[in-house]
Amino acid sequence: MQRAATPRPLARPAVTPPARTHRSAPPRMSRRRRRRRNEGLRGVSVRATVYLRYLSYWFTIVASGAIAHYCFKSVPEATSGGIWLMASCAFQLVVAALGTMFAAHRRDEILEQMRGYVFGYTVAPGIGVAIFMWVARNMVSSGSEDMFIRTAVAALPWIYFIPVLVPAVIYLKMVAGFKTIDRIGLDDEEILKIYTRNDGLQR
Amino acid sequence: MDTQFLKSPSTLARRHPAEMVSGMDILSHGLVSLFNGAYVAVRLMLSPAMLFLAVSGSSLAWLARLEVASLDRRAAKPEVGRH
Repeated sequence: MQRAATPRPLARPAVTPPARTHRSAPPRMSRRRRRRRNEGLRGVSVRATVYLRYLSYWFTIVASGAIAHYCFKSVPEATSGGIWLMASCAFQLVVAALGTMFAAHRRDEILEQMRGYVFGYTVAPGIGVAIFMWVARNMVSSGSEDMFIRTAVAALPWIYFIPVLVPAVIYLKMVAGFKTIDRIGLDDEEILKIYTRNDGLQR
Repeated sequence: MDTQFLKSPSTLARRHPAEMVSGMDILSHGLVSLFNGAYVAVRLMLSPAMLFLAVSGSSLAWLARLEVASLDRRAAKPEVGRH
């Protein structure tokens, strides 16, 4: 007696997955939806505040460069003072951005130091010197015979480059040093002496 | 800055009235305007000030993205004022 031919399955039989005793992963949700659910609109505004703060940094650099450019426009030995200021700021910001890639464990510190160097050591003193130089030049051109003012007019274009150029070099050195600042320069014997308290410091 | 590096057909027609002006004036005027705008934009962007500002802006954008990422990583709750 011939058996009836069973129909050939069109697809592989589905393997029944084992029963899940626990939920191994939370339900998938997009990052934006999760943030909106957990933090609401306030989370969006907190992040927008960060971006707006950095936008204000950029506008501050633009405005300070424009002010310095105006003050140095009539100085024959430093015509493009504002360009130098913007170049210094751009250099420090590029150093900071590269530093966050090469010394990622120091990112927060690099960001904090960037604010201090760009705005505290470069922009604010540079603008101060530029405005003071502009005032002094106007005083001399209007007939002032004051010795200090006349000396300042000659010296301030060169003094201007101290806050504009020196912090950029120091910041570059600092960020480059973050790579090796935690490295121990002692050899094995010295490390073991310190570790086993046989370094003479215990006496 | 010389922005008229291309002459539109109507300008050519005004300078040379004997020449025929085709009906493609509107299109050619638009193209000339676009080319002139791109030319001026490139000329402006090639100045040192604009270059430094573009570099500053892109670096600041990267640093802002990092700060937002660290904010997300810390999972700091936003401060809510007490009622």
